Amino acid sequence: MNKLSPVIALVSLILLSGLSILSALAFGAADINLLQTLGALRLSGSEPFVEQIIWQLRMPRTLLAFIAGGGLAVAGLMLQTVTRNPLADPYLFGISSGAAVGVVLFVAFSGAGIFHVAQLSLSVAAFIGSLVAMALLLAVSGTAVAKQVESMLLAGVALSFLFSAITSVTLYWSDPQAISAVLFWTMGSFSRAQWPHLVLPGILLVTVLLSILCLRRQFTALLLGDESAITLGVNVRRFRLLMLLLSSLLTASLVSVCGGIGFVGLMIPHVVRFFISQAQPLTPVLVCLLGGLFMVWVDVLSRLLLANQELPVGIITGLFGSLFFLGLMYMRQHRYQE
Amino acid sequence: MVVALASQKSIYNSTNETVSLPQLSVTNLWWLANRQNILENISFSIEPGEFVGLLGPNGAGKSSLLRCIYRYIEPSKGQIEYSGKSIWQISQQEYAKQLAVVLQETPSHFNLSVSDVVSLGLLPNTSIWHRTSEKEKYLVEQAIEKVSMSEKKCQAFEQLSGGEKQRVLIARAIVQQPQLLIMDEPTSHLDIKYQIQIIELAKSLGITVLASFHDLNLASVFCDRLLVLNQGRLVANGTPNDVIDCALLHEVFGVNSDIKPHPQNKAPHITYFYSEKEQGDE
Amino acid sequence: MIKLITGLALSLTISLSAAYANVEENSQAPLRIVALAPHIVEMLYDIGAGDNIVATVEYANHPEAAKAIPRIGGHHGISIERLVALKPDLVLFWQGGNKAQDLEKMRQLGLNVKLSQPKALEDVAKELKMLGELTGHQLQALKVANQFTNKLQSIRQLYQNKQQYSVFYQLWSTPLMTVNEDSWINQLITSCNATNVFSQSPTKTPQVSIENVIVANPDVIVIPDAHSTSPQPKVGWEKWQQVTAVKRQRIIRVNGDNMHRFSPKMLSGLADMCRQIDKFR
Repeated sequence: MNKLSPVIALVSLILLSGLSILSALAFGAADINLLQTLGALRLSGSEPFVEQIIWQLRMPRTLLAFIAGGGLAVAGLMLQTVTRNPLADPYLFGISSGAAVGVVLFVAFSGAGIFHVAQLSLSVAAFIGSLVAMALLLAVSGTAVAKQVESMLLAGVALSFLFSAITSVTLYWSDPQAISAVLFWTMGSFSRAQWPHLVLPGILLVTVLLSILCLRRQFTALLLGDESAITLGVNVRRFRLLMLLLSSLLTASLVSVCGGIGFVGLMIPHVVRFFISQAQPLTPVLVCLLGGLFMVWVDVLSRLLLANQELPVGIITGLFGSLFFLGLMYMRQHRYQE
Repeated sequence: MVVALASQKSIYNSTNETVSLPQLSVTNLWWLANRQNILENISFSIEPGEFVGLLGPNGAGKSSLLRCIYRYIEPSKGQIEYSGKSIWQISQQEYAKQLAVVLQETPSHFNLSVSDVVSLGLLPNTSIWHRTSEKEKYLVEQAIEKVSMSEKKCQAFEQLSGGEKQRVLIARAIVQQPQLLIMDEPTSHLDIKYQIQIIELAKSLGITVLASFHDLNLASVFCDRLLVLNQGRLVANGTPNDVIDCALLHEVFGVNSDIKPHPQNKAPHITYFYSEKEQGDE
Repeated sequence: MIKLITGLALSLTISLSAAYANVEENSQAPLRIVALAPHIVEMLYDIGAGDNIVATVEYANHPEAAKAIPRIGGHHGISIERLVALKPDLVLFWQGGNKAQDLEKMRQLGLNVKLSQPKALEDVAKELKMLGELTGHQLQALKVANQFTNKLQSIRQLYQNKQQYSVFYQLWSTPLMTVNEDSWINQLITSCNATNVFSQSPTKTPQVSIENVIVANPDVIVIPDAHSTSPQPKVGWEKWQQVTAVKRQRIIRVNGDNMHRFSPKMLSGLADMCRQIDKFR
């Protein structure tokens, strides 16, 4: 296995992320070149208009994209590891669909005039939805170590279906306008990003990253099976619940501000594992950076692909992400055969 | 049934002779699964430095007994004590510092390399903030070298042969620096050369070993003491010479056999008879 | 088994022919209409054929009397079985609103289906006249149709020579959505002698960003209420003073319920929007 050096990977990803965020700030509907962007960043000698666009629209948006990509990728890594299931990601466990239910129910009821819809309330609804999903998952998946992974996966899939059904039923009775709004929302978007949106996901992402860095050996130990991890002194049941809780909170905080964005959580950890061993202490950081990097460019595409309008982020991650991933798998297969 | 005081016969005697407590003692252990007795009233103890073999036909409860000892399952009744302390009162991490386990099957996910797996042996001895020190890296290197896997240390664990995997897991156990090593059928599915290699490797560590075996002759040659399980009950506990006799083999394993001393170390060596043939009862 | 099938087929033929016989016998009885869209129901009431409606779909809430009509579906589909059981003489299908599969099924079942497919604002008059022909209320229909055409004409003429404003029509705020020129709403905007800043977008209901709106720099922002009364989630336009509409405080709320349907009622919504825009001139 010709694996990359994790340190080289880390340095290049940090550099790339910095450059990408900077250049992403220069893309958008308004015609602002890189020089003006840099001017706005130094907070001097630029037009107030440019400054406002950069600081109030593009910056929070780009940073949210970065945090969302990184957070979803890390959540995917955590879920894949604690369940040892290569297909695990926040979607599989019903966390994202729980958020969607929150929003859909909220839109449906607020549409009936029950609530006064405020800017942040949709996010709160989504957050509550994912927390409910997580609580149900934990309640159902039980405490017996031997069957925990299995019942978690099954319960997660069942919950996803349940929530999609609730979403569909609610949409069934909503008017077409609400349906299209909710559908757009479930496909994800960073276009409404504001600075306050960054706070909770940012704090959670840092917390989660630090905790899995501290617990990295326990994390790796799970990859050899529960039984083996127990003999190494890992309290598997508690550890897995902690990881699930952290990844759910992270996902919920993200889904609530930028909608459901699929495939990133599934794909990025695998891409990193193509090049770096999962047991490397830096792997979670690399997963986070690559996820963020990927999402920043996805967001740039969502702004640029159609003139004067946005393409939902979920479409691009699904389309480009899966094509890229399939290509990578194909190349890898060929390398093995040679 | 013969019960021998194996500690007196122990070749690899512990340096700590003053300790009167056994290293591991199991008292009146029961384990029920689906209202069926898997383990019934099992009692035995192991002294420091002993190499103990656990025998029994398939389904006798060997793995369940070991699982009770390494805390994967909680017994329904009875006591397991390590150095006089109930194992459920010792913290899980503390216990892992004392006891290393080589499982029969260890799945590996997401392409862990050999050195990744061996490094996991450091886990019980490090706190969460701990960064791997040079000394620990050296420990890992040494352990890999000891099991002659240095050339493959960057390979994926999953792609190794059965014998290589067992060696890697023993290296992990070495890094763990335990006082007691438990191995569940470490030699099954291995070529005979590797069976011997694995047992000798475990023996060379100079720590207490409790291992289950399929191959009675292998167990007879290498173990100081044998425990025999049949249908969840402990039916024999003693030196190979005391335990292995034709009646027991017939009763527990349902085979007819002839027993002669092994030419090398005089341990009992079994020759099996096959059906429809003349029986060599003595 | 074969016997059973022949038996079934036979009884089916009999009952079907009986059904047809019924229709012919009852030709003197009042027409039984199923109207599969809210705007069709409204227009039927406008031309005096409202009492002939035996079934309709969700959201057909105007006029008040329409609320009592039984519902047999919504935009998610129609219960064909209930439709057939009602033995309608006429089914009015909304091309573009109802499901195409349903249409196919209805035609296969031999139902008398007529299409409503309004595209331009003027089509409302055409549709009214068509409904009049179908229901025998030609006179009333002609009257209502002419009224509609005249009123539309007068609204257009009223603003024809006024200053042309550019409009951002905020269909929804989370995410920000608007309409392009293929949309019905675009015609409403142009009727007020205004232009839709996103008319050239490639999709019918494009999602846009605040930055897109800033660049488009509309003179007026029009925000339809989500449902007749409740407002949309707020965008916070007041932060973007470089947008003309924001700087000059030209943000208006209109009644989406009135605007978004293809019936004469739409004109009251249109008139209201035009009047509000005109106040800024």
